[in-house]
Order: sequence, then structure tokens, then C-alpha cells
Amino acid sequence: MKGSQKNSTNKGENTNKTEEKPQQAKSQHVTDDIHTNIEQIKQNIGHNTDVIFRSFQLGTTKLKAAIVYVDGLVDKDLIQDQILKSMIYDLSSIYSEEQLSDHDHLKDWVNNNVISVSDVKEEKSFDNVITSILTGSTALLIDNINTIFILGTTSYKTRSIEEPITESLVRGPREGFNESLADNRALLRRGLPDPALTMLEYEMGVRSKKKLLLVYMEGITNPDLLMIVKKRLEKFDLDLALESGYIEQFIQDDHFSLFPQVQSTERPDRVIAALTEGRVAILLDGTPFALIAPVTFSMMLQSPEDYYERWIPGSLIRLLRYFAAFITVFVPSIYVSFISFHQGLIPTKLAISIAATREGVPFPSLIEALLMETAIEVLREAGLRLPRPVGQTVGLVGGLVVGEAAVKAGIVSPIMVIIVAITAISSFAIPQYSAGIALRMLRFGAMICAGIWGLYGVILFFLLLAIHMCKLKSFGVPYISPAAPYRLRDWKDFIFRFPLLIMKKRPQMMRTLDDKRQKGNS
Amino acid sequence: MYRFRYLILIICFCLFLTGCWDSHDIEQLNIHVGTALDKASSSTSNGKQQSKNAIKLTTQSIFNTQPTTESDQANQEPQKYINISGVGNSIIEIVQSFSQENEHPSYGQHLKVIVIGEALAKTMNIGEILDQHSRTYEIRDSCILLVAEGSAADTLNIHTDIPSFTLIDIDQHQYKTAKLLPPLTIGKAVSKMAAHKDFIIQGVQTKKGKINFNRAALIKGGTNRLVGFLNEEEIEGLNWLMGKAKGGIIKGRDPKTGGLIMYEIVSVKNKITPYLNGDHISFDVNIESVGRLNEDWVLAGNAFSNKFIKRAEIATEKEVRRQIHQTLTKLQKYQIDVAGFNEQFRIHYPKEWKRMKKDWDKRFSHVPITYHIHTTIRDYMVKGRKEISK
Repeated sequence: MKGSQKNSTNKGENTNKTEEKPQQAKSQHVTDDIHTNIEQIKQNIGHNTDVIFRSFQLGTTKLKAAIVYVDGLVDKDLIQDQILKSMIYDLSSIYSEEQLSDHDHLKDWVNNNVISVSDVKEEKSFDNVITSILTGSTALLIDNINTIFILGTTSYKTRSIEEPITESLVRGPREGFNESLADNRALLRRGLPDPALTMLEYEMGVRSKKKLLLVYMEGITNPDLLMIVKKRLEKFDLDLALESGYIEQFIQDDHFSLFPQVQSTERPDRVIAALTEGRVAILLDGTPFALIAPVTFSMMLQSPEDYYERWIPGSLIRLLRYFAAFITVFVPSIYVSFISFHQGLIPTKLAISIAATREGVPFPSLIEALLMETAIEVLREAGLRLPRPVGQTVGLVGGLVVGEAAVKAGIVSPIMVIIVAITAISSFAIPQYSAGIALRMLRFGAMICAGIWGLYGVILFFLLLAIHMCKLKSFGVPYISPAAPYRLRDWKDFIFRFPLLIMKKRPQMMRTLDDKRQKGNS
Repeated sequence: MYRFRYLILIICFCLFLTGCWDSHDIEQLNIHVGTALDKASSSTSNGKQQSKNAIKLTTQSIFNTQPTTESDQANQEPQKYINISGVGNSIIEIVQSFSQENEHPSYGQHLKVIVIGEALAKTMNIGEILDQHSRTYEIRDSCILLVAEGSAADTLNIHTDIPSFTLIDIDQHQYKTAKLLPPLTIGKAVSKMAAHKDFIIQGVQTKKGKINFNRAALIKGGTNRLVGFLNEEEIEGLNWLMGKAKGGIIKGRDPKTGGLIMYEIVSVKNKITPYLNGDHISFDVNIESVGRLNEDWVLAGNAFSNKFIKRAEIATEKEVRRQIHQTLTKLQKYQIDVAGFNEQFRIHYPKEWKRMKKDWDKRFSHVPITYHIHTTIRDYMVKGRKEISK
């Protein structure tokens, strides 16, 4: 069973392009007889109390009809006002008896003149009908017609559009995605009302049947990239796609790498910026997290604010983040190697004061560092999972207990507490949560290497990391490009962010079809 | 899957089999910051062979204990350092013997200062004494060398927080006084000794637990032995002669009134020009200095008048001339050429230098040296007064 591409909603029309699935040999087709049809649907989902069957007669005629829908998923007002009312009352005045016998005419007539709902599909396969009912559509069955009308009445409670919590900015739009795919799609459309913005719809999960949108810019995005993404999406083979993380784990390149190879974001502006760079976005129904692919390491340290601010502060803040990333990974390990191996590299007076503070600490520096770093990770995790007011208390109490009492008890040295605090704070300066986790994990590896081999070990670890990152690719794009392979043009938006005026072209690494950003008089 | 099994195996090897090579936590080290080398007194080296040349080595290391309670801190400053002494014939032998007596291993990378006692420097080749210190990679080339008048061990016992740090800190004060030589590091000393050149080491004097940097030890090249000391004024003269003075005061007397005139050195430039006439060598030294008038005790002195400034300059030049004369007399007496005359001669007359370098020191002692000093008072700071009209 594979996720299948259903239709292109590019122009907003609802054309049914679904190909009949050959493997569904079991599936039965809709018959002329309304009773058998209803029986068929009842057999499948009739045992559920939330499925409502409502039979009625078309106007004054004796023609039987029925609607089936799931309570709670549909807009009841719409059904009552636009479907039932028009079918039962309005129909009789215009409709003449002799037309009843002509079934084809009846069908067209119902479609064109009676149902005042914008989203109408005709369906012949019961499987599709049932799926549609379960996703909130209303099925309209009419006697003597061998198709079932699927009326788009889906309406359920969604969260309003709020400020994204995980990626808050000082300057920038305050809108974030929510759980409704329709809302998210609208956010993108509103931000980029360009005909080139293309959304392909997929259905994810044999059972969850989540709608997924593959979004790209026609005429900008490289078709090869699109091919890769499509192929990988079609390989998705789980019955459940709860969150975009499920998709991410199926489509990523290297499952053993610590680095995220797909970026997840709650921010529509981020997605739009990525799209115009020639990247591809994936939106899944039911989650506010959109995926962006391919990504590079530098994207993990970028914030939309870099672009909203003027370029000098933007560049400096970005530089600061690179610095913070380095601190996160390497400072505890450098500390361990200085304390245990290379005491000569510390300035004499500092060495003496460190030695004095470490006097009486029972553990070697590696154990001390691992202990403290683990403690701070536990604190972080505990503060994250608990309800917000309690979480803050945990952070406060934990920080005080570990920071003060542990030093006073002589279990750890005060300098170690400073080091741990600096690394923890630096790791929070990384704008992408998943990238922050990756760097925090690497820190432990670096510390163990430092504990065994000293600075030599730290350098070995760095080399290993560099090798891995050079090898890593995200959807065909090298992870640390534009550093390697070296592309000078893309350095304009790498460690520094050059003025927008200078960035006339899209990133070279994306191999876009149309690489000009500024089409003006320049 | 096999791949990962190997990976896990390798990680396990690294974690459990390697241990932590060379790992010593910082608090478990005996961090040496200063070393004093003395001639062992005959009583302490009784049992040793070659007791005549035995060395007494004293190291200063940092005592790692923090005051445990607050009352400790309040009562009295605990001693932060500990001095350990040992006697032996070689440096490394003595240092190794410390490992038998101390709980923590010796650690030399933070060694900042080596003080050599007068008696030892007079009887033994300094190159040999410092051989271990300059050879080992554990000790930095930036370690500073001093010579103590009297006992070197006493200099590590002066009443300061950590005596070794006091020593190196004082040795950095050239910008405040011209009576200090530029710091001589082990690296520089070794290169001088390798070139068989005479050199000069800052000397120190300890009296009742107080230190004074008022000496300079003259070391004869080749034998690398101490031959004599310069006093403060002679050091100042030497600094002028070499153009190394970076700061400090020259105390002149106003020729008219006899009042004190203090000239603060801002910069000194020197130019040594050698002349060769047959076998007759002579030198001409030109010294130019810029400074400022810092203090004058001349009541009638008016800093706004150029006449007075001129007088002040002359007074300064006179004083400098006197100091240089004194220095040169002593250098020529000891036949020690540390002011760089040989270097200038070598540059100007390379062929003759080859012939003369063997007995240069002897020649140097007879060479006539003329010197011209020119001082300029660039400013007189923020004070001046009208000359009292008579």
C-alpha cells in the first residue's frame, strides 16, 4: 500500500484525477439500488454510533434519498440549510415527474440545480466513499443513480493562528502554522500569491489517511530534487502518519546521523523563503510543523530575523550563533583536556586558582563533567515536560541545588558549574531545536574523547565530525555546502549575511531553474 | 549489522582498554613556579661524592588548599606556597628525588623564574647548570633568569603572597624605571651562551624578607661564570648606552641654582659607530632621548621659558654622561662587553672581526669610547610658572 498522489489543487479546482486502484479487487461498486448501497456502507462503518444515516424523500416525489455523515466532523448548519432543505422543499416546485425516469438527467440536475455546496464529487467506489465520510464529507445517495455524491462539508474545530512557540522572533510576522492543513495552505498562498506556487496532494498512512502537501515553486525548483522527494514520499509505508516527524524519518538520507537532514518549522515566512530559494516544503495535516528539504548545516544556525534585521547586526548575530555552536560542542571537552592533560596551556595564575578550587573534588574531571552535563540535561528535560509553572520551579530549584549545594558539598568544582552553565546557555542560542539537540549529543562524545586522549582526542573528534558532515547529504545537497564543495557565490548567505541588494541570485547549491532573484533594472 | 558490532567493539576498546593516558588532574600536580639554585653548603652535602660542586635546588610550588572555613580566612593569610629543597650533583637528580618525598608529581610547565645564587654562579658554568632546564620541553623558554646576591633560596622566601610571582612582576617594570634590565629569558640566555658572548643578568638582593632589584650580574662568555656586579646607577648607564631605557627618571641638578630637575624618559635611541684605523679601534656613541620635565625643585624655574628648558636638558645630559662614564669604566675593567660594541664592530668590519674576536674582551678594555648625549624635553606637563624677576 502506498501513499498515492491524488490531485493537483494548483488552480483550486476540484477535478477528480484519482486512478482506480487495481489492487482493490474486493471493493464493490455503487449500484442503482439505494438500499443495497446503504447496506453496504452500514456493513463497513454502520456499527459506529457517530455515523449518521438520514433517509428522506426527494421533494414531493417518491424518490428515496439518504445522506451519511460523521457527527462532529461536518458542518451541520450547511447540511441542514443547503442540502436537506433544498432537497426536500425546493425540489418539488420545479421538478416534473417525467424527468424522474431519466436517471442521467436526474443526476445532472441534482448536481447543477439542487445542491448548493461548492465542493461536490461523484464517487463510484465504496472504499473511497467510506474514506470520504470518515474524513468529514457527507455522502448523498439517491435511488436509481449509480453514483454517490460526496459533498465537502468538512468542518471541525481548529486552533486559531497563534504565534509559533518554538520559534519566536523579536521582529517578524507573528503567525504560525496550526493543525489544519487548509489554514496552513492558506497561509502559504497568502504569503506567496504566485501561480508558480504548486501544491501536490498525497495521502499518507494506509489507516491515518492524512493529507500531505508537497509544495514547491514551478519553474524554480530543480525537477531532479522534486523527483527525489516524490519518490521518497511514495515509499512511505506506515499505517499511521501522526506528525511530520514520521515523514521526516522516512525521507531523510542518513538514519544514523545525529544531524537533522530535514528542517521542521512552524513559521510560514520561513517556508516561503525556502520555497523561493528552490527548496521543497512538506505540509502534513494535523501538525503545525512543516518540513523543509533539502537543508544545510548553516540553515540550522539561521533565523528569519537575520534577514529582517539590517545586514550588519544580522551578520554579527549569526556569527555569534556559530560561536555558540562551537561552545556547545567543544568547551566542556576543552576544559576536561586542559584540566587533565594540558595544565601548561592555562595561564599560570588561572591554573593555580583552578587547582585550588578543584582541591577536594573526589572525581576526575571527565566524570565531573559528565555528571554535571547529564544533570543539566535532566533539568532541561524535566522543565520541558512539566506544566509551565512547575517547570520553572524545577529549573530554579534544580539549578540552585546543583549549582550551589553541589559546590559547597565539594562534589564538583565551581569552575565546572560555570562551564556547564555556559554550554547550556550557548546551546539554547541555536535557533533550531533539533539542531540544538544534535550539538548537545555531540558534546558528550567530545568529552569522552577529551577524557581519554586530551586535546588530541578533541581534535580527532573534530576531524571525525568534519568527515561525517562532509559525507552527509540532504536530498543530494552536501550538508556543509557552500563550504564544501566550495561555492563562493553562496558565501553571501553563509556565515555572514550580505546586504539583500547584493544577493541577486538564488543559492547555487539548489541548482534552481531560474536563479535570478532580482529581475529589476539591475 | 556486523558493521555496527565492530563499531561498538572499537568504542569499548577505547573506553575500557586505553584508560586515560598521561591524565593527571590539575589539583594533583605539584606546580612549580620558581626555582632557586645555590651552592650546597658543606654541611648539607657531607655524604655525597663530589661534595665540592654539589648544588642545592629549592623549588617553590603552589599549595593547593583553600581555606576550609571562613574563620581561617579572617584570622591570617595562610601561606599559599611551599618551598622544597634538595641537594645533589645534577638538576634532574634533585627534581626526581622530590617525587619520593611528595604526594604530587612535579610539574614544570608553569615554571616562571630561575634564581641562581652568587656563589654558584661564580664557581660553576651557568650553561651547565641550566642545561637540564633548557633541554627539557617541560620548561618554557620564556622562564626568566635572575642572579641573587647571597643566597638564592632566600629570594623565594620573601614576605609576599607568592614570591616567584613578585619576582617576575618586578622584572616587568622597565617602563617605570631605567634601573632594571630587560628580562632575560632562558631562551635568550642559552643563545648568548651558545655564541660565547658575554651577557648580563638582572641581580636581586634580599634583606630581611624584602627584595630589591638593584644589581646586575656580569657573566663572562665562554666560561659562563659570574665575574662582577653592576649597581643601580651603572645599570641605568648601561640602559642608556644600549638605548634600552623605556622609562624612568634622571635626576639632574640645575647648573644655575643647584635645584633638582627630574627628567622622565620617554624614549632613548642609540647609535654606536665603530672606527678602525689600522689596528686601532675606537667607538663613537650617539644617544638621543626625548622626555618630559616631571618635577623641578628650582624655585625660579619657569617651564614656559626656553632658557630654563635648555638648562634642564643640559643638567640631564650631564647626569647621564656621568652614569655612562661610570658604567663604561666598570665594563672595561671587567673586560665584559655587553653593550653591543662587538656586534656593531662585526657588522661594520666583518673581516677584521674574524681576526680580532678571539681576544676581543682584552681589546675592548682599552678601546677609547666617546659619547654624545642629546636630550629633548618635549613637554613640561601641565605646570609652569613665571620666573621671578630680579
